[in-house]
Amino acid sequence: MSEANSQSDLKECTTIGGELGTSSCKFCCDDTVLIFSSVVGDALSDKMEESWRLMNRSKDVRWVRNLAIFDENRNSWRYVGAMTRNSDKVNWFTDQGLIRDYDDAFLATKAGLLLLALEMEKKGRPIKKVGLGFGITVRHGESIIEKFFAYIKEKLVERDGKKFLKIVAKNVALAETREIEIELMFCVMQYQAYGAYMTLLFSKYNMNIYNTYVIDIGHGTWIKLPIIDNEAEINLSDSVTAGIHTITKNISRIIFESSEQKFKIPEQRIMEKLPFKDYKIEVPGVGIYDFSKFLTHECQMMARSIVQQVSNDISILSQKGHSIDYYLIIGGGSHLLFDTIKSEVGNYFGWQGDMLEQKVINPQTIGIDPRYMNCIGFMLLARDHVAVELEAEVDPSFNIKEIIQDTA
Amino acid sequence: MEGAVSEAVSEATNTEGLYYLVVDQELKDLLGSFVKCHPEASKAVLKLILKMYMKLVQKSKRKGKDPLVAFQNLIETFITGRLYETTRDKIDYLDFLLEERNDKLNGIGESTIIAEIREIKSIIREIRNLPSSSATTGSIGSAATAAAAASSVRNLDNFYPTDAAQLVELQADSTTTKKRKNFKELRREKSNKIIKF
Repeated sequence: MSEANSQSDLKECTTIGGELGTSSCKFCCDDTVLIFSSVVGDALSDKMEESWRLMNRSKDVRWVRNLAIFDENRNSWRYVGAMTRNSDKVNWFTDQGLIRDYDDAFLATKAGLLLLALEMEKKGRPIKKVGLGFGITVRHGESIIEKFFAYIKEKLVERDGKKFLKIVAKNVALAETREIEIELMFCVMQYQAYGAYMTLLFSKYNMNIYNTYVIDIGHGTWIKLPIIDNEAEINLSDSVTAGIHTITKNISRIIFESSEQKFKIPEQRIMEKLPFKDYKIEVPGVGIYDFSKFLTHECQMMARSIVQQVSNDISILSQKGHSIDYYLIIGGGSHLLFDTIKSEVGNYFGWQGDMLEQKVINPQTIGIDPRYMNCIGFMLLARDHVAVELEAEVDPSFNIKEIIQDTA
Repeated sequence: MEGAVSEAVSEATNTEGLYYLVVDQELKDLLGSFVKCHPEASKAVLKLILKMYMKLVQKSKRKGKDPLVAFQNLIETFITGRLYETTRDKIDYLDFLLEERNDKLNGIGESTIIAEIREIKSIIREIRNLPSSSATTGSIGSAATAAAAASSVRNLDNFYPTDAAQLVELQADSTTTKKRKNFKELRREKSNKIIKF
């Protein structure tokens, strides 16, 4: 490929940010964020699928909720995200922040690109060439994720020196099949929580470098990543196996013990109630159980444990002559732990009032949802890479208008 | 003079065990600049600066502030000659000297050092007595002297420090004072991991 061609290709390149999280995969393109569960499952047989379609009463026939991707390796369809509700056998392909199954993670990547391509097509901005910004887990290290992308490379179709990803997908509810091809140009990678830092860099920081300590509280893990002089301090970053799941699991256990081991409330039922701040649950034969007290206690315990590790890191950084300008708390669990962590950080440093408000950043106060901040940042990372290659100014603006989820 | 810096650095590191702090390039440069600007600066002065820096580092560590920014402020104070701008500064400095002399005294018992300590103690006493004597003169009755007395009483805190000597106050928000690097300059130097398909 000639240099001139390469430059013009980059100009047409659509930048997409993505990450494969323990509970959900997130992708971001322009003003659209896509989220679906990190799960892939076996498809029904053709006959069973037909029967299911006849019996399906759901009005939600969106692609994201009824998606099957064709798996060339198995020569069969596989359900992705919410559609796995109909699968006999499901596979959560990331566990404790690690990609456990390359085949299924590849299908999820395909699903993300396909769903965004369909969405952008509807908006009159079809995706032809893609530059990816991708979040890698701290525990992976670069070599493991390189293996994953080497695996993807093998699956690409080469034509005229260009690499294309062929995606065959089906909307099971509509029995509609689509086949698309996307040219993959590059993938720029950084540690998962770095995406959130990029988002701040392009917005609040106005492209100036501020040392930032990112705490990303997810479903099964929480990640700590100090960023000093624009670089991840990898020696101090870690992915700890504790998250919202730890909290809900403990609450479920307490309810089980309180009911004299008669009733086991699934953690999922407790988790579903948290975003609505509904802390009451019905225990059959016992009554309504208010778990708000235990939730507060569990959140405090976890927040303290997080801040303890953070404060250890601060001491180490301080001994190296570094200081942290801002603390950023993101992820699906941040709404539960933000206030406690902020207060604990304030206690540690002796910060109060405005000082504390400024130092500990709640993404919502700057208009960004803490759950999607990373993948927005990875889109910006890819956009920045294109700008550097083209020796052009990078456009720092972003405005998320639509969030598409596989759950209703 | 460069040799003096190194010596001071190594000695300070031996006593405080904060090697990584004092060999920091930025700090070395700062000390180097100081020595160039003030060739009369002796090894003792540099030792004093280093000790103060280490105290600053400890304080900064507790408060999560940037010790280098605080140190730069301190150097600024030295250069602009405002070291003894307030009486409190003077007391702090004398306290520091006293502490240093006490350390030396252990096991030595030199009469000259004892004499020095006496001298320092008498200066401290003199300074501490200053507000009360002002207050006494203010009791004559004029409005001006009454105001002076009131002012002296307000300043009493400065003359009777109860806690450890305080060094230069850290900036309330170090993020606003530090000259920030720009991402656009850095991104060309440090590239991310890229896979080209």
